[in-house]
Amino acid sequence: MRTILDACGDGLTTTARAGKLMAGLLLLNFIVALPAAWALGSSLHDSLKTSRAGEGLRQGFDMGWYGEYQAAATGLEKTFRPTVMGAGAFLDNHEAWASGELWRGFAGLVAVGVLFALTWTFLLGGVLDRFIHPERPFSPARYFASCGRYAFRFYRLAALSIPFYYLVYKFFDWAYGKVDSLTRDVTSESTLIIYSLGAVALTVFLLHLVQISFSYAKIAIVREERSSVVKAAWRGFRFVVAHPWPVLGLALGLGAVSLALLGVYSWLAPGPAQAGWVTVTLAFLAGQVYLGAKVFMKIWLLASQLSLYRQFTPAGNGERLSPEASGQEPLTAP
Amino acid sequence: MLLPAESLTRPPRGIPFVLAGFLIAACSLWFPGAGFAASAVEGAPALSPRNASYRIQATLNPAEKELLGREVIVWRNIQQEATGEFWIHLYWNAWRNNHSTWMREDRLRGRSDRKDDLKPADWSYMEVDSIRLLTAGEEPDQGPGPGEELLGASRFVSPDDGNPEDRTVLVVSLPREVQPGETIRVEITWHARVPRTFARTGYRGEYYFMAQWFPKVGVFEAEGWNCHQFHAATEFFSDYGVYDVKLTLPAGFTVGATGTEQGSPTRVGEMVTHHFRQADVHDFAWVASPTAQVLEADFTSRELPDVAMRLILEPEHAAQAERYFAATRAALHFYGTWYGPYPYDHITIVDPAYGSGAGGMEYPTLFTGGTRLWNPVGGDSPESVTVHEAGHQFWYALVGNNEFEDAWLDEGLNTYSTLRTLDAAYGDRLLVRRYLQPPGSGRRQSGFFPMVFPGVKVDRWLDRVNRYRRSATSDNPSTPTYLYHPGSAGDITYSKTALWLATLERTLGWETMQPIMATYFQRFRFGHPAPDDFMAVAREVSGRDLDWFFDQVYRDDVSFDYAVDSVASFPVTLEGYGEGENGPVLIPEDDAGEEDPDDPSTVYRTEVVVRRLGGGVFPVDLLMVFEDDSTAHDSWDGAARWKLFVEERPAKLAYAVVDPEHKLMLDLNITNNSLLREPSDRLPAIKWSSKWMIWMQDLLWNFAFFS
Ligand SMILES: [Zn+2]
Repeated sequence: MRTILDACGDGLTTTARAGKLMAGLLLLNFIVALPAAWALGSSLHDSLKTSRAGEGLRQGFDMGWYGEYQAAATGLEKTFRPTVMGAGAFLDNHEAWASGELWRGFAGLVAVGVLFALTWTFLLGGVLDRFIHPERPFSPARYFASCGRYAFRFYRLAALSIPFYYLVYKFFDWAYGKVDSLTRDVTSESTLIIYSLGAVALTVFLLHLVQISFSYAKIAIVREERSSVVKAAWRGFRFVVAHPWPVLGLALGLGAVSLALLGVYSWLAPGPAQAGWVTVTLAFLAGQVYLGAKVFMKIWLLASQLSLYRQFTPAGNGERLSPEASGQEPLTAP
Repeated sequence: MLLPAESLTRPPRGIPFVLAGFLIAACSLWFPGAGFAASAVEGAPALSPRNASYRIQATLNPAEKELLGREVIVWRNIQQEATGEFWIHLYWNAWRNNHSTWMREDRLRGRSDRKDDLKPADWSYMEVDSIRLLTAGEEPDQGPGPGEELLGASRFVSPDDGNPEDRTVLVVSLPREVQPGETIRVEITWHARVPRTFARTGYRGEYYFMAQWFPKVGVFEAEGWNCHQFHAATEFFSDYGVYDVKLTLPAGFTVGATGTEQGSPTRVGEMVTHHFRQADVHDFAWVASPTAQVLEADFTSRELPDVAMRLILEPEHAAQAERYFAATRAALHFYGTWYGPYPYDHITIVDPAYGSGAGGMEYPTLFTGGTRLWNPVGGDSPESVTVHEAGHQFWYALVGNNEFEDAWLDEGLNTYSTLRTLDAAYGDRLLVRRYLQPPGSGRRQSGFFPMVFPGVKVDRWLDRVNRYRRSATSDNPSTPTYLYHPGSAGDITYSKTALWLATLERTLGWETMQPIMATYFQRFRFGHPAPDDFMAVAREVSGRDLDWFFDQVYRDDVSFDYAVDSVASFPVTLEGYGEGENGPVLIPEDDAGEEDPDDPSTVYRTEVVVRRLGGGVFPVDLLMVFEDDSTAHDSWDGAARWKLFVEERPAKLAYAVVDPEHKLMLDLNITNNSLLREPSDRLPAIKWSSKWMIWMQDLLWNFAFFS
């Protein structure tokens, strides 16, 4: 427990100092999403600009208009639905992510999503290098240099992870099919919910297991200047297996905080009734704040994982550490 | 609760199960007395012709999923012609194998994935063991007697599609003709395998919903026998009669059925027999659940007769009992007030077990609702299905049109009535999205976990427009329903009909529409009306020729779409040549004048073009709203392809709306019904695309999970 709390504390300090990084990530995310949102906005405006239906959407929503719009929708337009508002957006995506539907969505969006993931993979090397060596002066050139240094290894690592994720989704399809056949004669929905949630929980656990293993693999690559991604992946996995409780505890603890944040946002998230520029902007900002909180949690987890890794892998245990990473130097150099 | 298999009498080898089953049933379960049809409801005046009555005894063997039955059909020829045949539906043969007509049509409506889910034990059959024409006075409990065995004189026919492998209609040749007014008694014994639910019929686990479970006589009409094969997209058609049914099954089941239970169930060993009876109905269904509880409540009203409500409820839905009762009360109240009272003093609501597939179906005096473990108030579930199925007591059970041929007469009238009732009783419907789809073939069920979006109202009628739109021209509604494309039949039968009825109401006014519906209901209660009957009543009561309307919405598949195509406002000034004393005089450009918005004397000419984009013709109104908030109203017979409307007044047009009161509910595109002269700002689009953008941004992070 102490280990976990220490890691969380360390991670929080590191994350709190990484304001520029956070801002950069949010900006990147914003910029990638903006063209698509602009395209959708234009399509909506074309449909609404000369019709009284626009008034309905200004005051709230109009399901009659929506039916007509969807009847003629193609591509991006098909992904528009009123349930993307408020917490619905996040629940939608969580559901798609857990079931693998994420990958079966509109191909254009999947492509943008993959590009974003690849960009984030590229940036991750710089983030980790920065977290490991906070004492070095920061410059964009240095930051991107370290991104470049690890990028190719990280991409190979990502390629290595694909079959594992694929297998997890195959497992989900199999497990859900199994639930179906096991509950073939069940006439109580609660029983079915328990079985189904079991399958989903296992899938989510396995997805995170793979993700966490590969996360520690990346940490190992940067911290120990490993060149073999296979060995690094093995190292990451072994680390998870060797320290299951701290690793799990950390993930669950921060996962619980994330869920609580989602709960708060669900409760506070604005509905469809903003009829002026100010309220529309405020509602948008509320969503951005929540997105920011989600990204903060993501970075916090990564920084905490790094701290945990260091606690269990001090210098002198035979691992080849990068020159600066010898010993348990404080994460936050003065 | 499941009875151990050995405690139920199994036939020794070589003796047909059907006979062995009757060894246990014969001594106590067959009931004495003949001519029961007349005496079944002693004292109560017959409400219906009662020309097809049934006395049935059936035993369910849950271990083997087997049903043994014996029935006497008392049938009277009410036509002016004699008949030498007796046509019988054997509905459960629809799921005998994948070559049946029902299964073929099921594939056509997109259920080809069903085969992934089907196991060999899921198929069913209904095998007739004996058909005897009983002689006068012959007691049916005497075993094989002098009555003539007609099984050998029977054959399967497929009048609808000639499918030689369909066994859902059996024609029996009678040894002599049945004369007009003559009554015959036909005794049929059969055994059947219970299907694992198809078409809301069958079992799941130990839960049984039993519909179309007995050999059922067709309807003898002036044109001959009307006895269709079982089709995937249509329902049933039968004559009225008295049903006297004894059901024997192992102890431990809660049983509900059409009618009321006669006395307490009797128990012999491990078997319990329930006796139900109902007069003046045309079908009989029953349910047996090992887990259900029975709750009772009353419908009372100053204007309408009391009705005792019996709810057969699965325990996990206990919290929703009152919602079932309230929705049933709403249906009995509004339908009763608008059309005429419900004539039976009881109604049974069945809350189907999860996954049983029995939900949302109507039978006389009994219907199935359907809900989920969690169903937020405001989302219309289970209210919508409950009102609809309770409403079928009026449109189906009481007004018994042919559902094979004219399904719109019950489903359409009932959908229209359902939406009116929901609007009146529940107000706004809210958008609900359910998360986490249950496993299963095609993942057809909606998710387990509902979330309400309180700010988004779902207009129940526009929701129907959205369903109708996708099938608007797929079939001509006057085609017999069983010939509709199975994939789009529902959109026309339910949604299109409800929408044209609503259009009629908005055209004639409720004060005319209500008497039309009430007259039709009261005139054809316990009868078999056809589409022309409804239209004749509409003409008669409204005093208007409505053929132009029915020709389009019923006898044609045209779609409707009126649109404001263009709007313009400009000052009324003359440019070009004016008329001078010596001929044309060119008007100086300066005099043409710039428009001055502050000059109250500036008069603007507004031109609005309305187009008819669809094939359908309907008279429409036009509303023009001007920038000074003044309005102009105009009307158009809607016949030409377009029409120009002109208005001159000291203000420019703000916008124009065709059909501003939205009378034409069949209009497939409402967005183009209005046109603003100046495009609106981007706020609505930006508002909604910004909400979508947050979704997209989060989606990106979900992809980033994998990096
Ligand atoms: Zn219906």
